[in-house]
Amino acid sequence: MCTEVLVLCCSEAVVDNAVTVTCTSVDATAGSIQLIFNPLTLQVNSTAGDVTYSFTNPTGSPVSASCTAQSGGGGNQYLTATSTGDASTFALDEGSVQFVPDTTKTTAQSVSAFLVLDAAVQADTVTFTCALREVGDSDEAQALAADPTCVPVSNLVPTAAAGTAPPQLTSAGSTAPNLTPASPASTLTTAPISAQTQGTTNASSTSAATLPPSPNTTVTTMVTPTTVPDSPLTNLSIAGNWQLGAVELVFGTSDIFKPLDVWLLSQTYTSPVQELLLVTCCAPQASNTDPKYRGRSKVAGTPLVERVIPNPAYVEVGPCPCDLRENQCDTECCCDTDCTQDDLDIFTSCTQGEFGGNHVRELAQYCSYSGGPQEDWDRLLCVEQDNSPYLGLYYNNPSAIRTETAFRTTYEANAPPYSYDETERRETVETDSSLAYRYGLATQVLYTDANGETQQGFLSFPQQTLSGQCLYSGIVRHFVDSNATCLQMLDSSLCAEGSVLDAREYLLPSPATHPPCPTPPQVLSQHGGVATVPTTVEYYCLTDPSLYVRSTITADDVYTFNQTSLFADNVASTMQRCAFDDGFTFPPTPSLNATTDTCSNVVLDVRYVISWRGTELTGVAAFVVLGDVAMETVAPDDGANSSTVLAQKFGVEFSYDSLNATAVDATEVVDRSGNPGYDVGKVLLTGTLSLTNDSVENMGSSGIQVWSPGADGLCTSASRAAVTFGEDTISGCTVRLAWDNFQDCAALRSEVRAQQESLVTAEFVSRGGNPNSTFITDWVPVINNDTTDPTVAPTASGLEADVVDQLQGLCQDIPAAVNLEILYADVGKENEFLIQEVVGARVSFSRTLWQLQCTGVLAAACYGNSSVLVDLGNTSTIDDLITGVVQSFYVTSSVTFTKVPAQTPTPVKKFYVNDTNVCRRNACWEELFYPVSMAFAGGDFQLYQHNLGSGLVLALFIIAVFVITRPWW
Amino acid sequence: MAVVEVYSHPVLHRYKTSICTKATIFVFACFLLTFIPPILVAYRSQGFWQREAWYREQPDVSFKHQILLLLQTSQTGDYLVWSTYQNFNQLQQGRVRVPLVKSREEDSNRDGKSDALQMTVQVPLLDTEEVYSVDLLLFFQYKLYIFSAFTMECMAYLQHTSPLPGADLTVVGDLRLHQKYPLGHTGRDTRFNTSIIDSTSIFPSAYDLRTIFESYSDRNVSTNFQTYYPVWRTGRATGQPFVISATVRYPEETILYKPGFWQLIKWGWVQYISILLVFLFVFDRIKTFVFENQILNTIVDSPTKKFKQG
Repeated sequence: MCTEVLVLCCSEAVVDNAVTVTCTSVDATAGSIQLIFNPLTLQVNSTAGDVTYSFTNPTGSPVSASCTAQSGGGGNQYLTATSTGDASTFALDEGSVQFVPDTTKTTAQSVSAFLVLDAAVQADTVTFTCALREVGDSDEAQALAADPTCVPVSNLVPTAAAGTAPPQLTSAGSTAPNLTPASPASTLTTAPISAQTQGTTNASSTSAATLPPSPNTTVTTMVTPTTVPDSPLTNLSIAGNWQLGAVELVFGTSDIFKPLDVWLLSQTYTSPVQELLLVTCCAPQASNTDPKYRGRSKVAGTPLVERVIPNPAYVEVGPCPCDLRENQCDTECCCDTDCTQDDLDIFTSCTQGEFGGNHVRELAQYCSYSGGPQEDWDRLLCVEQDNSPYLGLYYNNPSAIRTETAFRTTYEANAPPYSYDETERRETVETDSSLAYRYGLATQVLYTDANGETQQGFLSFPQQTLSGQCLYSGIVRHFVDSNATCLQMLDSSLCAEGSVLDAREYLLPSPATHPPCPTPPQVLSQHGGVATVPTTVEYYCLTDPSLYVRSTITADDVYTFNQTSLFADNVASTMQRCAFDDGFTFPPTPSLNATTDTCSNVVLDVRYVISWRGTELTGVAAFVVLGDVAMETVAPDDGANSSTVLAQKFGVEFSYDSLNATAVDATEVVDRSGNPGYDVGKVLLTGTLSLTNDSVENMGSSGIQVWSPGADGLCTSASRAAVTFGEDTISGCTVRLAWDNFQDCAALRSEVRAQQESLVTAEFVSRGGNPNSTFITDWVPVINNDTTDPTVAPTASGLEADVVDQLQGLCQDIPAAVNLEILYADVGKENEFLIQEVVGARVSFSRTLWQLQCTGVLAAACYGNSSVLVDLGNTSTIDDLITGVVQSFYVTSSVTFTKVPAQTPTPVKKFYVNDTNVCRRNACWEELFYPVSMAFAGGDFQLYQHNLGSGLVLALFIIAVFVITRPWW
Repeated sequence: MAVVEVYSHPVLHRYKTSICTKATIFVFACFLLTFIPPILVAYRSQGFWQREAWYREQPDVSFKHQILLLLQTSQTGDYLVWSTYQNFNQLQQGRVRVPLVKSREEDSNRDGKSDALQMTVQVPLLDTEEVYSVDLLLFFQYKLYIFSAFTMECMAYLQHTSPLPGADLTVVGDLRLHQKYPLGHTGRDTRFNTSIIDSTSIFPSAYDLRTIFESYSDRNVSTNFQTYYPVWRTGRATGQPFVISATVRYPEETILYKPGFWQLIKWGWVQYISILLVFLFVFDRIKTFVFENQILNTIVDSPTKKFKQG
């Protein structure tokens, strides 16, 4: 309950009798402000009086009140019925207060701001309590600003909470002076003055009625910077390193603002920091008798309130383009509303053109166009522009996204289909968790890590990738055999423990105990399991590692002008187990011998044979070849030294473990070349007649072979290669012959013939890829009817045989080419795959003339070099050591596969023969009705049926039309 | 009582005049204007005579098992060659390195025509020899049947050069037909069924790639090998051969030919008659109008008049 006074004015002075004024609320309800007026008596001659009233429920809705006057003593100057003035409204008077500036940034050691009231204080003092807080971010600042500390400084309690503030009332309409905190800027309502009739009380003017004691008005200010953890509210003036100048701000009469400073306590920053400070000020209830600023809590200066851009379709968002700065007058910008008349007066001119805000875009089609060249018809048919209030279509102004949830929702709704977002995992992880090894899964190992704990890992092994580069971290995949050759240029750093040359970096024998540490990794028998399989490793020591070292022999070293070469004797090389290899000892690490400049115990070849049965692995057999490799290689021709290039070979193969399998599995694994029939690219199987003449002994691919030339292409280094089904093959090698080799043509012929025949030793070729040795019908014989005696010279026309051979420097009829012709046929089809079988094989020789060229650079060969003549009389092999100028001759072998019909085709009349299987000139009779022919359907029977059906429907339709219209009858 | 049409037939009016009258000239002019302008319209609107046409056919290609191979084995000019032409080998002497060649032609859709040649060439090399460049010439017999029975010997030229010494080369490509002029629509065409390389020659000039390519590119019809993705792998291991893996596909080709006389006439007629129909209709109306209204005087021989006379 609170008592206030308002001034009542009368339309004319009271005469004769005193007047009693009675005021009442007109539209009071339960939720509105409740007014209780005290009666007033106006004495004669007075024109105004003070009406005292009290009110309750100040937070209620505004209420209206009116007053009536009644002359006493029977006077009729004022009558109750006619003197009622216009109602006045009683509403809350809200004071407001703000920081200027409300948000600021500083890089100095102090920040200054002003706390400004909306109007000068009129009566009582207004006291604000300010607090300085550090905040982490603007969200926190906003939360604090909404809930400020609001207690008097005198009874400051930590963690004080602010109360909500009932508002002040502003009333108007009663003739009462404004008593309480004078605030002209607060809501003033002027009641209209009604027509003055006699005795009417006119309420007019203004006031701000006071309010009951109420909590606080608060103002917050964001001041930068901060980021130190929140400090407890023990001291309002200090936060972190910052101090507030005054905690309590007292506004005296006529004060409208107070300065407020925040400064740095001590120079404690050595590096740049960013801090966020929040200053809150509020007028607590306890320290303010004047309730105006104890009004509703208000927050000023929240930095996160976005400016809402109005819809540009209806509002010009940039009416003044030269207005670049907010709340400041821009020089020479006459349309800037921030500029006062004084500013405008000192402007020399206004910014012109588009940036001055007066730009109208002119198109060449406009009649008003004045912007230069213009097409003629533009002038003839120019466009008049009509300004329409319609400004066009615009997008809505999207608000910023501030939360993770909102971001995700928006992003997922518009996510681009492809981006650089990394979605793949970088770790090597297999998603298949089954215990069974399946094709393509990684082979797993169990190893002991640095902490002595066992971990599951993958069996890695060098593999080739991309265009042949070696990946030493490649993972062995189940059932995927691999072979790799990796080049390493040797240097001393590579010849050390832990390098790729170290045998201990590969699988080690599982029973190895010498030395006892470390525990070698073991291959797991189940994918993702824990049981390991035994590993056996056999170490072989090579004394001559030349097979694994890039040789420095050049073609000039091989093809010397006076070095003959013919064919090689086969020498099988064997490797010896290393001395240390007892199955329990770890292999030695590579070590550099400085005196001989040799790296010893280098890994040259590693081969893993992984045994499997069912879905498990049963064992690993590893074969490791070690050797001592010189660090430098000497080139034979010029003696130049260069670093040795090592070619390490690595191989993995999976083999079926049949040792302790069931009887069904126990048969030996034989590589078939297809079943039934042959698969293209598989080796041709050959055989010889067994001793008992009733079965064929399977020789595999060794019975019929072709030349596989060695690195230098000479026949001395040539080996043999298997013949593969379906692939026409030609290969050969080079022999180097001198004059002396031509002395005995019979011997030369015999030697070549013997070498060529050694390629074809088989008597039978298997019909299919899975032959049965006991069935001779599974085999076809190799026909070889060339029974020419190589020692007998051929008979040329008109010459005796001996005479031919006596010609010097040439030999007739050398069987330089052996041809294997194989006939095969399609004998059936299984699951759309053709079954192809060999039905015939024949070996023949192409004979050619080998003749020395007796002119030019190599002509010296023809003049003989009889210094070294070897007696060739009784031997069929020619010694290679004949010297003399040599020339190259070629020995070749070829295989031709010819497809034949499985059955002899029935003869057809020539008219019907269409061997090319085409429709000649696209006008053949078969395709007369092309749309419904199989040729149009392209062999697709479904499509053919569809076309035929469509054609029949069309024909039916046409017939129906004719039947109905009957055009001809 | 309802009237039913039981029968109808057109009535023929005959307009007669002597030879030298306006009506005769008019009819003659109409005749010319009816039949000549459609030709002009059809011809001047382009495409009247079908000067060339095309069809599609998969050629019947077979690999002749003839090869010429050239490898550059150093950057200073060392090279190795091999060929199925023995005279060429004999000329090259110490430069010849006989490879191991495997080839097969596969008919994957079993239509009786080979669809691709699969070939591997393994050239043995010393460790000191490094391959920087490969030139491989493959020779084929090429046949077309549908229109002109065309036969020629043609060539695929596989070429790759790299600054890095190679271990193998893998190419997959198409043997594409290259036509300078349209083929005929009929007849046998063996103009280019001649050897590209004269293998009987014992002279080195016959095996000069410049002359071979020059004469080959002079042909009106030839083939070229198109490959876009050659893979040149480096890092040849000790003692390993250089391997060329080639897949030469024989794709279906779009072949240009000159249409025959009757095809030409047929398509011209189709265009002419469709325009002529419009003119016939228009001039028929004009003539009917002119003679019905007797704008040009003629003797009308009308059947209705006969009835009246009768």
